[in-house]
Amino acid sequence: MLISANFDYSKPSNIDDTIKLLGHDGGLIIAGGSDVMPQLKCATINPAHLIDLNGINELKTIKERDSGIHIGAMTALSHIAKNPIITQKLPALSQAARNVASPQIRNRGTIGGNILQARRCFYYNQSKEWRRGIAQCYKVGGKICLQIPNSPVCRALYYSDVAPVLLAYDAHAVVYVSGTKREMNVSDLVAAHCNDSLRNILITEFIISTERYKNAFSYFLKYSLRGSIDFPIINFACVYVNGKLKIYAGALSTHVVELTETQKYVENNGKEFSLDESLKIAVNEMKQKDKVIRESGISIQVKRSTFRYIETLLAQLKANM
Amino acid sequence: MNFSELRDFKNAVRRLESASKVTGSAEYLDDLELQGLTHGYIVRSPYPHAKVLSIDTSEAQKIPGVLGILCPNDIPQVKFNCTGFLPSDALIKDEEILTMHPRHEGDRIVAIVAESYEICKQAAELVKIEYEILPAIMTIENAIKEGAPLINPDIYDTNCFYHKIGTRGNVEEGFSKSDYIFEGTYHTPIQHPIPMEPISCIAHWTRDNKLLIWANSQTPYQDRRILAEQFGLQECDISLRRAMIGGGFGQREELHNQDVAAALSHLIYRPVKIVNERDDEMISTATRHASFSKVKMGVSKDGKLIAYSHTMYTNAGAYCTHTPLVTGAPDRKCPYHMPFFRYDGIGVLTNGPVSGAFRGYGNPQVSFAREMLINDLCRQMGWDSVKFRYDNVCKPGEKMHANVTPLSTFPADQCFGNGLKIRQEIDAKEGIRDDKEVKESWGMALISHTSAVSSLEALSSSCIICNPDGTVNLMTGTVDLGQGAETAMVQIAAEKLGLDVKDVTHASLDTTTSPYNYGTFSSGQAFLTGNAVAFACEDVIRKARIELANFFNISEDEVQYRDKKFQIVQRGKFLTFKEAIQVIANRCRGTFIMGSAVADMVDAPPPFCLCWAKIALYKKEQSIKVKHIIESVDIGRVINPLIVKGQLEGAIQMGVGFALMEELEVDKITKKVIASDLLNYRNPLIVDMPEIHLFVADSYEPFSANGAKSVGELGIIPVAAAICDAVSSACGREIKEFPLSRQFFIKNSRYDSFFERSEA
Repeated sequence: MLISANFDYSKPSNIDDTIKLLGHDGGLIIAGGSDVMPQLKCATINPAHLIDLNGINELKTIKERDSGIHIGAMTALSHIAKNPIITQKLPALSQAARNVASPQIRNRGTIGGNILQARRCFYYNQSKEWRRGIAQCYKVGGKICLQIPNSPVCRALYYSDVAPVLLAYDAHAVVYVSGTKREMNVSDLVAAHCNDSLRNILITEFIISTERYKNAFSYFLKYSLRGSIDFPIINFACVYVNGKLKIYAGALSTHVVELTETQKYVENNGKEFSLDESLKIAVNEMKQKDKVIRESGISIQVKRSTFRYIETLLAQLKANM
Repeated sequence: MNFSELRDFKNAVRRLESASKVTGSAEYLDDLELQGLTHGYIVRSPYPHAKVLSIDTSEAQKIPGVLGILCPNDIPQVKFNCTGFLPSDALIKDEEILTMHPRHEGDRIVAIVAESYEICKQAAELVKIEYEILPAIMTIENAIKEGAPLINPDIYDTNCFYHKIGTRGNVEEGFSKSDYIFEGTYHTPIQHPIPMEPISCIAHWTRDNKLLIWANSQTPYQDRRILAEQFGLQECDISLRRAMIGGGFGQREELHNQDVAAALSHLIYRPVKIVNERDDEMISTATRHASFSKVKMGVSKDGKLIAYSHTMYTNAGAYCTHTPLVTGAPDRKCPYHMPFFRYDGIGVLTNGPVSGAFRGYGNPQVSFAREMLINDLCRQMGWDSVKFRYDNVCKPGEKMHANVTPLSTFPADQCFGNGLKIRQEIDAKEGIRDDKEVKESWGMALISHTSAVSSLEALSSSCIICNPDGTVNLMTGTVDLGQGAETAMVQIAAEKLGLDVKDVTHASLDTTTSPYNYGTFSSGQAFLTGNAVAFACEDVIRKARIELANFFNISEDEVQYRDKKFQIVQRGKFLTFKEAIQVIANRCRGTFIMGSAVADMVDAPPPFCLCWAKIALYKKEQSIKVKHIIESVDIGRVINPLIVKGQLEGAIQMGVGFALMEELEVDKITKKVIASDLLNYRNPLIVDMPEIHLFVADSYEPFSANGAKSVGELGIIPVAAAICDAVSSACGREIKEFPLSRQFFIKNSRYDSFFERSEA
């Protein structure tokens, strides 16, 4: 497929230059490109200016400091999957990274790009020629969601495998918004991204503070139709530390779903929590919170049947509390 | 089984073109560059059914580099059928090269030729087409409803445009003679063959009014006939060639874009290249017909099949294409012997994706329904479905339905026995789980197919030219699609002539110089073209004997060809083929050995395939996993074990995909093909594949000069039924449709760590 858009291209070598470039209208950051390139080919985006971060080496490092583990936003997923600091101290993150897409895509794809990947829907992720035959949806400037016609917003699903884990670790991100450097919760970042309200943002690194992983139990699970390449049908992540539990489920809504009732139940009952009871609560909670839409390859019924696969994660949690 | 134990394992030679393929130096069509090459693009309908009200190309024409734009009214309005190696009344001519009335998504409206592909796309953006959107009917059920709007009233007065009836005895009488009667209805989805190389062609209409075409087509001689009709040319004016081809699977057994490229080239007398993009490929190229079957079987108390009736509706899409043959052929492919039989094949027009030929040609659909009902009735009767099949399958000497001659070979004992033995070995090794969490089950299916077009009108020919050094050039009209046909033909010639495969070169296909071939489909190359090659070798040997007799001044009878040597009887002299040709070429005057032959076969002997699938049902999760597939086949003699193994494994992969996850999904709301790329159209990866176990019977087909039957399509046909049977028996309800991924979660291990090595 050809890219027919006309855009400028810059490859800055430092953050300052990047911020300057981002100040202009129509700029779009490209990291690994595994999400941006297909969108350019399908002409679902039309940037005036592509800003390639691959020239900034300081964004590609993983370091452990007193404050916690710092992961550069441009670190490749294949690197995160294998890095000894990550595999030993943030095992759920390593698991999530190694389950993204396929080996080739993990070699290109970055952690920052994975968090900021566009939400997906089979009406929207199609070539321009294909989309000629249907009404314009919210994603491309129209006034309707083709999946859920009475929805006031776009209902495309958020498929990130990394986001549920970073949320469970309560990670922070160092970002530049309109040229100003600040730190924000990844949960706020993801929420803003999923509401399509993030503009001109540069993420430089993710930080997971020491108290969130020291003596913690963390776990990640992904289910997909095929054994590689595919986006998740569903994914789960949890972090249990100092009596506090965070559990998230991904790929079943426009954003990552926090299973607050399940967290509460497990925290209240501690190690003795009932697996059956927690499973019931978790599945009910997912059924209440899911915003499932039609996807290719599977049925909605099969999608919902995978909610109960959280049982594996809960069993691991119980065994490791 | 271990392939190295095959009797013909010595023939396991590597493909002749493998080095150029693995080094990337093989030239596929898109690699071809010609002087003055231009690029073509087809603007297609985004709607499944519409009328074009107006087309405005004025803005597009202005773009520098645009060389020409064709609208429907600019080209010959000759209706055609994109297939038919011989013209046939059943293959109705209902397609137009470009149309003002698109009847399926992707129907062709406007064609553009430009100096580059980029310019084509820019021009396409500026072509303004005004459509009136018309209601579209996508499914068989809606198209056959009473009062359903007609899909193509210009040509057809009904949507059920084709009806084939095949009978043996009066089937109703058969049911009245049966002790038990069983019935079932079954659906199969649209499957796409997704060859890795997209459909591509180059057409060059020369100033001398010759039309040269390069295309990844399976049927160059058929394309030549159709193009000649479309453009009013003679067949000798058209020359079709091929580059290296990256897959076909039957889909390329029809004319795709060659006619558009030819029309564009005629505008400018320069070569025009058209290469499909993946979404063109998914939406507007031939797919496997979706089907809906009603099956009824009558059996006797002692487990004999008495009567079998089968009505299959196929979703043709908007045009006739292959539908009459795909829908009509399966009645010849029933492996069972029963006194009463009736088959009704009904082709139904819809506005759905175009259907055509695809590995199996109607047989996977029919076999799924038939085999599932057999499994169902055996479960209900408490019969062993393996024994039922063994008792009812055709044995040598019996005549299969609609075949001319009785079945000559099928070593049923070998195939059943060894298949069951593999099954027992698997269970002995890993057990068969049946506990609170997991239930494992086996399922099976039995099918037969054909070794060439079953209507027997097909013919293949071959020529052999002997070079002065005793090597030979082999010419056949076979198309090597990546399946290894040329290698197999070279092996057959080498074996007949006692040469090494290195001494035989297969000429690159060109319809002007290569001898006629009906087309590379119906799994027919090993059998039909293989026989043509064998006969041509005999012709060469006969001619060589005459020349040697002249040379040695003896009678022809005194030159014998034995054990791959020419024996000059009286002189006790033996000449190898090479030596003989050297003598003839270098020491005889005015002679040159060239042999040729046409394969004219009475019947196409059926190959057989028994398939078992072992699946695990995870009860709580309602998920399934396919663990093992066994195929036990009779394909006659094995010409090249490596090719046979590749064909069977590849076919099983397609069958597993068909059963589990492949479906060219059409959206119910927009009626558009959702699966327009390879992320939405799921095809099993190597990590999703079960363990494969193969047994190939030691068999020799006496009808065939080289003992071979066929293997190309065979392996895919029973797989879906075997898997669905196993799932039915594990979950306790009959599976009547697939892909199973819409009913179950398909369990896989996220396998990604396989690719990683821990960081040193």
